[in-house]
Amino acid sequence: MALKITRASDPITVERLNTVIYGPPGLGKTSLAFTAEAPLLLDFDNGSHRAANRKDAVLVSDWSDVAEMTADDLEPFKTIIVDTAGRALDVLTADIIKTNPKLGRGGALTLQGYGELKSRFTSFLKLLNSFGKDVVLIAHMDEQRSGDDIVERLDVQGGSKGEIYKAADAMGRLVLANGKRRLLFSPTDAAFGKNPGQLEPLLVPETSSPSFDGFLASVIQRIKDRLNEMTEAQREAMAEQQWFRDTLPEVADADAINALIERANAAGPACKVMLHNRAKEIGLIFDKSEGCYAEKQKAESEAA
Amino acid sequence: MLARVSNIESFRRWRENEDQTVEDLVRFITTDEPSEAMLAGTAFHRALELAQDGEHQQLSANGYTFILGDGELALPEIRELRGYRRYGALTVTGQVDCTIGKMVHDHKTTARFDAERYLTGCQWKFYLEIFGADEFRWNVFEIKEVEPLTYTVSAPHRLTAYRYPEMGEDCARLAADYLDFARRFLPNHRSVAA
Repeated sequence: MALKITRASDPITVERLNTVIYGPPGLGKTSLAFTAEAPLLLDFDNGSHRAANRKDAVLVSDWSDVAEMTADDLEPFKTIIVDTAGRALDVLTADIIKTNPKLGRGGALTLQGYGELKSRFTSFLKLLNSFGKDVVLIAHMDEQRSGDDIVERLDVQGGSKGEIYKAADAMGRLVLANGKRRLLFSPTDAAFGKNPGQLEPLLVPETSSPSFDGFLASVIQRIKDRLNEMTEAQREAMAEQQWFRDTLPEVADADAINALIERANAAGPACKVMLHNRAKEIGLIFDKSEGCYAEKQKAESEAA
Repeated sequence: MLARVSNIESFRRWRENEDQTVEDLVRFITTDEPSEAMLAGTAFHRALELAQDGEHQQLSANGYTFILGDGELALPEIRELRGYRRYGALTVTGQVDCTIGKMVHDHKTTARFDAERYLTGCQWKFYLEIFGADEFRWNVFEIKEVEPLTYTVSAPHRLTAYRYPEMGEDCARLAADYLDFARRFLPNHRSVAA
């Protein structure tokens, strides 16, 4: 038993994404999912036939239908859709109890069985990720009451919900407002979301519209593009912070500190804090009227 | 007025909890009586702050011992950095466990991992604002006391949240609500330790 501690590694360019889409039943989540790039839908919910624009799908009635998937099987596809994650967990639950009846009681999992469910579902997500495809997890929305408010949550059982939150790079909810479907990624006080793409609320085109085809593919691409911009910004910010970490220990007087103020301001809050902390270490205080650091005694005597 | 991010989060949770009174929240903010779980969490933070690269069977700090589970943890070198940001008449302050580039890392100890609790909170939003960062990563460790001052620690759950377009407005609105509350119920309290 050991915890391996390493330095935080360099940022990695994003080539594939895990996206969670959730919403109330009947709003067209499956149809939306089919607008991803070259999709294969793992149809745990047996609802793909209702989709307006049905493409390739695997009708899953037993976990063995997906357990043996290989990279070769998925070669023609670029996006794997799990529809729905909640129903996939139900199918996996049945498989766990079938394989080891001691992990179930009265059709429900024991505590140990839930641990097995979480572990196997996590492994399944890792398997899908290992194929290098984009993964879209579809989930139903569960409305819960919190005081006078209704809050929207993923309708997924037990600890596995935590695994979905952990796996999600982006998370959006499909809602109906004024008769229009919208896809919202930003979180609110009453709903979860992850919006690394900095996406505005998106109007989902009508299924009959030419722009509907490829809609989710374009959304996923926008999120990837934005994440890769963030990766580049991360590289630059890391380099600048490292420069301050290397330089500040050598800085020992007010002139040298003040010469770095402009660079620290441009580099962002973390570098400003590091500069300020170093100034305090060497006995300087910030003179607000002058906008620079000064020796404590000198600044106080001038103020007096 | 100065406010810790953690106190604003307590205020946010208090607003959502019909059973908590104003007195409950005022007492929570103004008294410093850490529970055993909080003391253990503080000790674990201290242990990680001091931890060097390498494999560790256990870590110790503040008289506590932590027996570690298998796992890997990538820790930035900039640790325990306190920052400030003004929202009108309120200055909000928070101390990050680690930061690197435009990413903030935060360690949490808990009896049971509950992703929704972290995602619902406002702490990550304020930290991203205060440190001008884009991505917030939680390292959540489930800890269990096995004997006095000794805990077993799970491998960390890693959870991520990102800056979003409306985040600044959400923080400003919550900060204004907290300021209004503090002016009425905490008029003499400087709600952050010196």
